[in-house]
Amino acid sequence: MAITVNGPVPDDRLGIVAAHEHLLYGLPGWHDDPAVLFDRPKVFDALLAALREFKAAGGNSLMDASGTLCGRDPEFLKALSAAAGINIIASCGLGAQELIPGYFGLPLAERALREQRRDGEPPLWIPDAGYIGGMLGAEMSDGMPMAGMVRSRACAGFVLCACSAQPASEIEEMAIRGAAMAARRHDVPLRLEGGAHAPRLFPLITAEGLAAGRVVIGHCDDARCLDSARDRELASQGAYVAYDHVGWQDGSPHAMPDAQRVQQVKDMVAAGYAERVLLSCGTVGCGLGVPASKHGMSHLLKDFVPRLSGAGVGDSALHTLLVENPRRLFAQL
Amino acid sequence: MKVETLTGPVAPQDLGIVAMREHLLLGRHGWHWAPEVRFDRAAAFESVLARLEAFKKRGGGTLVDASGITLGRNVPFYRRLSELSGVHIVASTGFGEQSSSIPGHFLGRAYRVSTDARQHWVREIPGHFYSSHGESKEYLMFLFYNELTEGMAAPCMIRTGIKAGIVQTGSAWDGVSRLEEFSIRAAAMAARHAGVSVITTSAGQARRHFELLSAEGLEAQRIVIGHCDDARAVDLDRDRSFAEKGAYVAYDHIGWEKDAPHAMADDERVALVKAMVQAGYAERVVLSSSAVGAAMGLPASSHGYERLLADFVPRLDRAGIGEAVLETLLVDTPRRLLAASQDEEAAEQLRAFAEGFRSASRQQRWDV
Repeated sequence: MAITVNGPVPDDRLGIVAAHEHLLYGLPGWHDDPAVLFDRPKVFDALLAALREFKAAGGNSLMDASGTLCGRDPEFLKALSAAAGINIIASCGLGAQELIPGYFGLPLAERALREQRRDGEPPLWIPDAGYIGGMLGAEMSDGMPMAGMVRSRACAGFVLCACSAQPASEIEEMAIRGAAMAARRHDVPLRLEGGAHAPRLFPLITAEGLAAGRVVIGHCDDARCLDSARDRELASQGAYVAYDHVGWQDGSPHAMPDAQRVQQVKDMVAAGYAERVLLSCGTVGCGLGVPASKHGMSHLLKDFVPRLSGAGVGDSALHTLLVENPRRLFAQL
Repeated sequence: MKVETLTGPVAPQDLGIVAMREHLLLGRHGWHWAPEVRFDRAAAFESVLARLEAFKKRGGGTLVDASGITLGRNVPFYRRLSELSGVHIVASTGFGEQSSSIPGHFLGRAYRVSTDARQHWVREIPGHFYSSHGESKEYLMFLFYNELTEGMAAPCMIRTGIKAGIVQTGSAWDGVSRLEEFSIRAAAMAARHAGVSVITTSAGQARRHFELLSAEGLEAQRIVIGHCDDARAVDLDRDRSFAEKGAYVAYDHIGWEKDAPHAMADDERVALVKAMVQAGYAERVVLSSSAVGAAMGLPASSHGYERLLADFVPRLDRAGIGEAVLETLLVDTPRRLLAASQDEEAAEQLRAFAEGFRSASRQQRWDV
């Protein structure tokens, strides 16, 4: 069962799933910037066109990986999903340190100092992993908060965590453990952004009791951190490895030619890990003060899948990659 | 000469008694994602309104909300409060400390690494090249200037035509980060062009703030050094030297007497004011209570905005501060600080600059 923005959908009705897309994407605070021109109807039409193209190419569902902070608008996604006839599974979760707002991200020692009270009572509030877990849990049970101090009834369907520091900073570690707790409690998948950090962070996630079969390691085709041995190792432990920047071929640090991604997929299939690979384009449909991607999410089905076929990946393997794997990710374990 | 309030421009002589630094709503950026913060809009509205009415009843005329852009500011909410209470409210633009008030969008890190992206992110306006994503003072200057002259952003992706009347700026207690330096310099540039004042937070770095603001050409009489009565950083010599240079010193935590690191007894504040008056700097001091109307996920103040007039002014009276000086502290000085004195030539240049900025941003690929 997958929780989409328009309610639960049985996992065997998800069809072809793009495992990592961003319909709206902006860094927290974008709406305070007068240089960002957000024309809601125009953006809606553009995204609807992209979703219809994806549907026409055979797509049926997508996982929107913008998390709690980065431009997600649940009511907007609901309307898009209904209009396009595509299942949209939204995510919750904090990103890397520099994107976590002050309310959560203030260094803890500092917070303790500020909120200390002279009468010797403990500080009013100090976040911990359990707190973040509860916060993300509320997005899956009560609905996702949105701009304007409003909580939508639409619930998140998977959890996101990320890390930019080496090693993870205090708040990042808290956010990762909290995300794992929330994913376990609500029995949803968890997506870890950033393949480079995966070997260190994967144990942190499983230590919270989350099954490996619920974990997706994203960004494994980031040109800066290719590592086929790592991918096989993670797959052998039962996690899903996502090659999810298909179509990002130039112009950004994580870009590389799709031919290399074809090779990655082929290697994993040849090594017997076809059941542990997810694919997606990682497109930015509407960039709110960040550049949108040049390609659309249908690139996966229109261009990349034919390349895989041409490289000898058979129809049944393709069905596994595009349909069976995401279905299993959301299915009862 | 006028003052931009939430209900439109007001003549300086109509401001009455002014509280120079208060907070209507206050929450660290990101509070609205936190499920434990139960924001009951109606209850918050009533609570702030009651505090504003109490302030008005004691003779208060104008209140400056010095939270800046990201610490809970809600422009339409504030305007309604102003309309109902009859208190003039001046809202602020600007950022304070990076860790609690400058969100990720303004950090300029996410796309810095790539050459292609860098080209994408550098804005080109005749005579100006700069990064479009926070890593420059010009960029933040435009943000603040836009809020002072075109209107402020409100929650829910709304832009309003309601203008800010003052710039709030500051840094962490123990240092000024790279981005905070940009934000302080940008505050000075925006204030200079729009002809308004800047009020700082975090007295721990007061001297550095003053240096940075002055370095961008902001006159001393447009600078208010805030939080000078923070218990951790009381320093009369510093206050006198700011006054000597023509800047203003704010004793703006009146009523915070316990339960916070910056708290101290109000009688100590009376002594500070008295010392400044005796040194001949009555015209360089402003007063306020940093009261919080409604707090989101933070400890609120136990006192309200009326504390200044109901409790502190009588104390000053008893300490021998005369009527004329009180009038200076509460009415004349804030009036001078809040009255906008726009340099028409500079404003004209800025208008051209801002227009260039807008047309450049329309051509960006990011606009779908």
